[in-house]
Amino acid sequence: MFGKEAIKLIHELDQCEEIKPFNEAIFQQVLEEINSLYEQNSKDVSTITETNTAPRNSVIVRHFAMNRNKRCLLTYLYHRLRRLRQIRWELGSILPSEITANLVSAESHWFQAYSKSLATYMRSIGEDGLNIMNDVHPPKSLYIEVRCVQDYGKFEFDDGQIVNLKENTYHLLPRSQCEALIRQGVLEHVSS
Amino acid sequence: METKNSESEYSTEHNENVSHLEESDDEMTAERALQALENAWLNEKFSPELLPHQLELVECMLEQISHMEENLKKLEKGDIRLNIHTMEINRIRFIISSYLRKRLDKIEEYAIYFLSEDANRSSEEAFMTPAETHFAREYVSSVESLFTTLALQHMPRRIKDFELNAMSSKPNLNKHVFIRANKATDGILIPGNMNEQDFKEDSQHIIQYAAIAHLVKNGHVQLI
Amino acid sequence: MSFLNFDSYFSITEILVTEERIQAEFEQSLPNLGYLCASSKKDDIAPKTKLDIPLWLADALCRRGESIINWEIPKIFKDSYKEILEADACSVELCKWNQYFYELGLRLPRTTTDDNHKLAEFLLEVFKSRFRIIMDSEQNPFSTPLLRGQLSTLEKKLLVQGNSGKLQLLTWLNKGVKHIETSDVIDNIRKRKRLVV
Repeated sequence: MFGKEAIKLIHELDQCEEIKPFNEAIFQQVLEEINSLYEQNSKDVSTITETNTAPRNSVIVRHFAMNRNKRCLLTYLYHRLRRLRQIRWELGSILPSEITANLVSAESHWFQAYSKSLATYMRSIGEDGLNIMNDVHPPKSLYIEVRCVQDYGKFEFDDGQIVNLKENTYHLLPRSQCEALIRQGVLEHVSS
Repeated sequence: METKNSESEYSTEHNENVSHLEESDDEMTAERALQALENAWLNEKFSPELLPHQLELVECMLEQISHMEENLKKLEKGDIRLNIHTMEINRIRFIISSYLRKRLDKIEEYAIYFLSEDANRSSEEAFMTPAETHFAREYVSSVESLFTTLALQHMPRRIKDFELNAMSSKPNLNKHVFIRANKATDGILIPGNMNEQDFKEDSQHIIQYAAIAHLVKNGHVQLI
Repeated sequence: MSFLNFDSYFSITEILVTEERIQAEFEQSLPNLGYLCASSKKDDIAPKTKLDIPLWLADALCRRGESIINWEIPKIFKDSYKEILEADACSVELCKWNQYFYELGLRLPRTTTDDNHKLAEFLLEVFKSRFRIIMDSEQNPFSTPLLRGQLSTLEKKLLVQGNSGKLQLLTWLNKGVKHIETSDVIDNIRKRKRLVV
């Protein structure tokens, strides 16, 4: 049946929330199916005459099949980019290498373009811009206790204070400024 | 919690203030602006569609924050007021960020649809701010260019189009929402139901968004 | 219905549901498509051929309004199965009938009669009676461990959402302070690294 390969791409999306390596092989096969359906249609169209209208039915069926395949391909691309966009909101503009490794170059380009649009938008807010990706949770306390999970080195806070973030050290830090570091997995929010 | 009465009085007044913000900018106290911002934030958070932007309000509050930050610099370290005000600034910044994030989220999801809706409105009546519009356009064109590079350009001519109409999805206005009536309002038509419903002031309801969408926009009800 | 999110061109659920097969009979011949019938060695599909075709194709063909096919309602929506549900909806292992039971029912091609409407009402009744067991189990996740095996995809999603809603409420009641978490993305990458090591 038509679209047998294409649906595999959708199953892949459905089964796993993560961005898996781009499925080049199946993606290519689906494109080939589309093109071969198109060729068969071009052949059949030429055989349609006033007395022989039956080929029109086959042309219609193949046309639907092409569109179905197209929809699966674009949906595959769309959800991968939505997932990338989610990562941009959570982790910022630098992608972990584990993610980059699973992207094709057009997707990396898309990510950069998206980051750039987002940055342009955030710069436009108010007088001097606002990073709306900070402040993800309502603040309840100014300072929070954090444990440093990996060596990070010196980190300068807004007020000029510099802290040396070494593995397994504990710090009491302004919440607003360590949020991003926690999400990136450098620090860990310690429950009191 | 404030008492019920004073709260409702408060929010009705505000919503009027919001719509006439430009004229009454000077009269608007910081406290009222904050309340209006909180209302706008909750409405945006719970409404399935994008609401008219509140650019002036956001800018007013951001200015407020800068003022507060300037003033804080004058205080000495360890002053108790420093902590309290910093906390307040963080709180306001959270509301603004959360509000703008929620809008951006919807704009991405329904970019094609909102752009076409705004295209039929004058620039003063547009729901998106100029910066949001710009963002939405760039978003759609970046998606289109990804689709083209990887898929569409390898397809036969007959189907290689980026079909804006097919791909545009609309928010689901039939979603149910929780509301509180700021003002007594009569004769609300509920889709698929012959009966009309009346809201008493301060009453709370669960209702399909489509039935009260216009009341959210004019401030007669508040989404909660 | 927002759960189903059927409108969207990019809806994963919609694409999966429309991949389900339904039985169709071709009214007209389809030249050069004989290879679709595994059993036939002919070049063409002859009129009156019966074939299981995906819902997306059946639907598209029906929408054209030309009678290329006649389709048959899947057996799980026929009277004998309806009676089972009417007897006791809660004990049916719906996911074995079809994991997209509701969505499939709602998505069947439009007919000229009011059959679609009747089916929709029937599905709503089934859903209502089963919703109670989902609600119960949301409140006591451990009391009905077998339940999950019975639920359709939609019901499972509701259950998961209900559970996480309950969890959120508990966290909020306990603490009020929101813990900042490492992003899931980073967490998963770490887990995988550990596996490799």
